[in-house]
Amino acid sequence: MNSQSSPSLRQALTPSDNDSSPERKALLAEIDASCRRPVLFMFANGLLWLMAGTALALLTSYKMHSPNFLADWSWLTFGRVRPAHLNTMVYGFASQVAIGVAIWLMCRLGRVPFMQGGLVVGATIFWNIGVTVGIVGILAGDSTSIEWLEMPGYAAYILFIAYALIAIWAIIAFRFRRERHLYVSQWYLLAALFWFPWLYSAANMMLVIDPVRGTVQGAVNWWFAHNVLGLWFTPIGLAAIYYFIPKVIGRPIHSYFLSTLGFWSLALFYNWAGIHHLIGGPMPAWLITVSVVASMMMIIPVVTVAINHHMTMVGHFKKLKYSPTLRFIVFGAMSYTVVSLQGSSMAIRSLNEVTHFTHYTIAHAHLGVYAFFTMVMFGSMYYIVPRLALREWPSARLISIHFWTTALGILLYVVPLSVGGVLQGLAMNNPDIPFLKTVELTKPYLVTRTFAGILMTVGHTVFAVNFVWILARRRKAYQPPVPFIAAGLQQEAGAQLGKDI
Amino acid sequence: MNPPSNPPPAPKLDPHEDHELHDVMQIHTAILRREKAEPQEGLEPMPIWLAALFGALLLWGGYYLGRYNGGFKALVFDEKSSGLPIMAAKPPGSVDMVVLGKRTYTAMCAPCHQETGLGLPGQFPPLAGSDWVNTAGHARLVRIVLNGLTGPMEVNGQPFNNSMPPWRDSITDEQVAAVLTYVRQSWGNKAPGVPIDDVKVIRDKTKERANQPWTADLLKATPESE
Ligand code: HEC
Repeated sequence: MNSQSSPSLRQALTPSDNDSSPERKALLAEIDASCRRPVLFMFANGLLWLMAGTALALLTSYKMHSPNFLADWSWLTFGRVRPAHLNTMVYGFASQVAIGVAIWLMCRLGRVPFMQGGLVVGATIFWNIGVTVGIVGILAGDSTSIEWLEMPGYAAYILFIAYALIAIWAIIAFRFRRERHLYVSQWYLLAALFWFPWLYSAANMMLVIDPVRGTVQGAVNWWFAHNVLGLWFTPIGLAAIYYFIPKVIGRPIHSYFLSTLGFWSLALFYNWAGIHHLIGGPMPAWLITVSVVASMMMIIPVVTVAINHHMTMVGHFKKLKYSPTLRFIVFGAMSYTVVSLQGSSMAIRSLNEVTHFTHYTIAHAHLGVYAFFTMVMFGSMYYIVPRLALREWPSARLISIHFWTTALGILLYVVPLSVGGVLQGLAMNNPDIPFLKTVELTKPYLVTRTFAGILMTVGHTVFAVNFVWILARRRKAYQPPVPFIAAGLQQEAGAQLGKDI
Repeated sequence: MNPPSNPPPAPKLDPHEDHELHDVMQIHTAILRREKAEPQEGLEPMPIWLAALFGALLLWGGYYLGRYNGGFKALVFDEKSSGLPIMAAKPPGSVDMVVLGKRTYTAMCAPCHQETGLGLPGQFPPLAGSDWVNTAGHARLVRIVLNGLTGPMEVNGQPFNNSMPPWRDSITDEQVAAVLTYVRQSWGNKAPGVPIDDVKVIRDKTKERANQPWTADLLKATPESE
């Protein structure tokens, strides 16, 4: 922490000049304007990939219980559609939106406008070309068959270079920040911006470009796949939560000390945890044991962060009613706690023996990437987009539909599939049950998942419509914000209306 | 932190944005006016029970690492073993005698005595059912393998007069023990195995013969067990 010339910690932590001063507000306006083109461009592309990924997801889910559906065309066979879904979501949607949010947060927190927006738009086009090449490559049968790195090697080069060209400007924005105090979100963002290229280049080097031999591949693969969640999506998600909860409710984050502990324990433990995916595999026992311990140690950052967020929210839960941002963010924050504790438990050997190789793992992955990360990104976009587009969200109803379909959709996805996964695992461990029986047993849960998928598809479509609408709308001099919930209108005083959007 | 008396100049905005700036300010203030201050940090202390929980976790972590590290050996895959018994039972470099015996036989003996152990009538005597092989002691057999055998002899009443080359310089004690154990226990032979140490003793005892082959008579003169 920067504490030069600071008489006390409290003063060091409190930005000295008043945020409500007109100069400050003008600076914020300037920052938003500078982020406008690159960040909105990333969001727009991200949403396009979200729609494509959603279509692929539905197809994949449907094939799980009706395997003959569209199985004649090699491009749409399960083995290609499924990795295509994962890669569109991870590299096309989630990473792209994450970078957009990271750029905006970096500039806001550093009180510095974004430089070279035009160049970054160019690099973003390059990134999207990379994703397109990669997805078409997978569908054409050129997949590497390495989980989370299915994109063929040639696409990986494009993505890496594009990432470097984009991320460097976020880091430069950090370097030239005018606010010397570092807020907790900035630690996470800065770390993530360095962690991702490290993970991605190391894993591609060791698995795709110049593959290591034998079971070491498995170790590298899970080190990467697990860390993409923990050292790329998680820190950016947490950075957003740390920013938006206090921002929307207008109250400082509970404890600086908890923030510090949470950040450093994540940085210390997460990197070790990935090999628990190989429990029972031909790996030296100590390697897996270390990983199990590290997974359990993740309870430290998770509980710390959960307390920090919860104690900040306490007394402000009624704001969830009016602020879509807060609603999505808090949903995401709660999911983070649940998914992380669940993840730690899944590393325990005796439990892992049941849940490994079952749908339980899939449910867990979606609880993490969707219920936590994606929901947080939705929430962030609800806050950021109006400030960049300079218009209010056109329809509060669409926002509401978006929230309920996705929130209920993901619950309907995760809960039944987890139950199905455990039953499946128990059946597979029982030598008296023939394998085909264990497959048939999962069918109702797989059908439920397709319904959940349809719900989420509705949510995504509605969000995309609202997004296109807000961009396409004619800009008027000033429109009052749409209140999130009509009922709130009557209850709150006029001045309060939609204040917390 | 002192208020920035002369803040660094703002980077120049993109010229395309400039004409919009007025617009931006006007509309943006509406959104910005209702926006709360940028987030800050509170200074609540860490709850003590949390520290206790984390202490307990670390303790557990240490225990688990010690208990299930498989002796911290790269080749131990069973987390419950300490790694040591496995290492002791099978010192590095030790091999399966049956596998080694068969492999040695195929490489060194089968060309003459055949894979079946039946030999070739009139040329190479059989090892299967041989009255030379199925003996209580193994001293003569070790000598045959080390130095070879030449001149007239009888195997199961059949006469042979050929010669078998010496192996002394190209075979290890372990291989001799393995191959003879294999020979004595295959194709229906049921004689006891040959320990490595005995081979070593006989190799030392017959050092001065160098590579000079035995004759059947000379062997008959040495006791079966020495
Ligand atoms: C070049 C061919 C050849 C090879 C190779 C050879 N032998 Fe012989 N072996 C003979 C001949 C020939 C005799 C009989 C010698 C004689 O007629 O005096 C014999 C005799 C023997 C006898 C005693 C007679 C019997 O049939 O019981 C034994 C035992 C024996 N060999 C074992 C081995 C073993 C073990 C190996 C492999 C390490 C081996 N031999 C390799 C040719 C060979």
